[in-house]
Amino acid sequence: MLVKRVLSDNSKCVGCEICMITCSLVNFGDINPAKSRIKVSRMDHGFKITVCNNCGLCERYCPQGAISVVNKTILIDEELCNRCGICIEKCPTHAIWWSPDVKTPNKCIACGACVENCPTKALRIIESEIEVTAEAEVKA
Amino acid sequence: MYGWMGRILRVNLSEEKISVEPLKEELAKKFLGGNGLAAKILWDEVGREVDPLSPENKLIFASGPLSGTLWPTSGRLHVAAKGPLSNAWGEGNSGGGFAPYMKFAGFDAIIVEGCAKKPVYLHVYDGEAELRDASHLWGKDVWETDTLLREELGRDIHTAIIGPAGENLVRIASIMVDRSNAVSRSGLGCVMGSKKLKAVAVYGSRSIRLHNKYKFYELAVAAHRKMLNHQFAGDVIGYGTTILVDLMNKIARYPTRNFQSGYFEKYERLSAKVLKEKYRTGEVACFGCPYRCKKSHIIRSGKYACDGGHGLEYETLDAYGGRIGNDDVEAIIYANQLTNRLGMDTDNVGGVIGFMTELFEKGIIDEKFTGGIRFRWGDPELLVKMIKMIAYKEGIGKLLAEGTHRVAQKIGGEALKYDMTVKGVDIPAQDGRAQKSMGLSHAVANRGADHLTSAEFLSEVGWPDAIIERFDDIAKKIYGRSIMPEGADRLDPKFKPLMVVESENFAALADSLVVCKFSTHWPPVIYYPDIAKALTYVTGIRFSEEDLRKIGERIYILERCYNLREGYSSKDDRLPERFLKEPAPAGPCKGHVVELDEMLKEYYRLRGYDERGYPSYEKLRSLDLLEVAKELNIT
Repeated sequence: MLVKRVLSDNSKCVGCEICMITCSLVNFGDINPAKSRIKVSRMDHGFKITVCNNCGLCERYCPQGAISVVNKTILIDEELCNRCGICIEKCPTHAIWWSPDVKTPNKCIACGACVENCPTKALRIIESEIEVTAEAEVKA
Repeated sequence: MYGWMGRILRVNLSEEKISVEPLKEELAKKFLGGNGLAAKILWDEVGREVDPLSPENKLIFASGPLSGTLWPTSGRLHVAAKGPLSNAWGEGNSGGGFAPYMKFAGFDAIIVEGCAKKPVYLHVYDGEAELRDASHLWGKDVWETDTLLREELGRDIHTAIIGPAGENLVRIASIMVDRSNAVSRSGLGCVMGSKKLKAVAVYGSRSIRLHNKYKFYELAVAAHRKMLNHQFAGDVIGYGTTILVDLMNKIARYPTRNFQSGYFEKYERLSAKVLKEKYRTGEVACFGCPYRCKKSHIIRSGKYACDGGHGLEYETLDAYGGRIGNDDVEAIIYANQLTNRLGMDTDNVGGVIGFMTELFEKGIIDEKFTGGIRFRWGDPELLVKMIKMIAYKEGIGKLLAEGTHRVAQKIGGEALKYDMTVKGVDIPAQDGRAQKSMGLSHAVANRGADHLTSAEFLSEVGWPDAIIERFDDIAKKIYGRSIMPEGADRLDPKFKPLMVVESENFAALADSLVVCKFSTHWPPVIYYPDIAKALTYVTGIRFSEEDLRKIGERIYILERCYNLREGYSSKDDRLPERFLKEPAPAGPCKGHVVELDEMLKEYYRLRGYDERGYPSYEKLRSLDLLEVAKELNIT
């Protein structure tokens, strides 16, 4: 099955956080980096981008069956989710988290708005077969 | 409230009392934020009787309605207090991410008053604030303090910190934001030190609400695109302000040897290309900015081996380069990070070293006066030594820590001729003889000699498109003719007063939003129409272009009036004799002086000032500043 994936290149990130504010504005209608589904962290040298790559592992582990592939991305169903947080625990890239005023664990839905607004092209979006790598399984 | 958080944090250090006040909509509409809000608070609360280093002075950290939004360059922070260099309006503006995260923490501004009994730092988080003991941080440099605070409070905090210089009440101390961004020029690090406030750390997860999010999103994304696609964007993105070393030497606007010349014969050793090819390791953007102008440098070996941090600027490449006759670029990178860590303003530090060196050259002072130190042009080791001596007030450093103007006053006599300051603040890295509008800007700027109060860079480049777009209609209205061709001639004083007035008002608006002059002034991408729309969409309050012009002028004039209340007047809108009488010795401006009196006369007319430099009653009434007129006895 094809899914969209946001891929990031830390070496191109300059820490402007435009992706984060774009994300919170587009997805939640206000500006709040804590609601963003992509995260930029300042490291001792340079920056680190954390964003879900739609690997699909969380779908397997969700006890409620609340996570599924819809329209080429992986979504968490607000009605079915019981906020157990297992997806957050199992995510091999640590790309799912709690955000203030957001009902389910918060993850990238590959809408692509951040990709369009990233001034350094540190982000791109591709489509590829959904695939849980062996490495991801081990991490989970 | 949309756009603003609607809350101001007030911290009284003497009483260890923290309170929250509402930001009144009427005040927000009139002054927006940043410099405007700070000027109003200082006007109301810090009067003539207050000593800048006393507990009664107030230090204000202010954001604006566009801070932290998706509007490009919305990361800037404005800080103001009564300044210890000018004893009047003091301000500094820095990049980084402090202002946005102060808003995400729930506050538009923080007012710090009083003085702590022992060193403290302020932690602001999600609507709460707490004063904490800073005895373990006192004495540490800015970067060490930042690292320790991150360990204590979390990696994502944003910080405003003073170094040993601020603690030691060095008058030219800065407040450093997110390690390497300086709130400089007015000596506000000294004010923070006088309050025994080592640092402010902010973080939060509150939302900035937008009135019309869809329209704002569309407009903001278009503004980002316009910035990136601008024909002059490449230089800013590629090199930041370092590109100016080459460009300014070509027009001889690069102050050299305490402003003796605007051309440094060895400038190529300090050029942007050298920095990029030999020392650059990466680049850093301020919050919300597509330009990433802050380049990081490292020196891997040799006596100046260091992590240079980010954001070596043109100002420093002059203050620690041409202005002291130094062509050792590694020494500049090293001295810059050292100054950032100790928390001082490179412009004022380089200024006072250049001044001392000229006094030595002219035989006005000798080793007896300096405690055995011999000042000479192009001595990088002396530069590094003096930075430490000033920050720790050791030996002659104790005197130099007072800043060039006070040193000149103390020595007196012939030395006064070489005092390259205005209102107690060192002239930054522009020789006004090579760009007349800059000469005028230095003379009149509210915080003392300054290039960013007007940020009139269009005549420097001589780019007609933007000059016509911004000033031609106004020139036609006032003078009945086009501003061209003189407007684009940096050496022709004609029309420069008009360009400075208009640029000052617009810059005052930028500092109240708070956005960066990279976008509003150079490159000239964003102007009133875009900002009027953005503010309307963000706040839900209808702002017209006219409203914004008035707000910019109101803020500028209120700052001016703050200085007038302190006793300043037309006699202080002056330049050092060098710029008025000594013709520029080199470059395309050879033979030029600054025609200050001619420009000043027209500038006063356009500003509506009388011969004392006071605005008229009509002007203050039109700006809705009648309370100011009353206090200054303007009738």
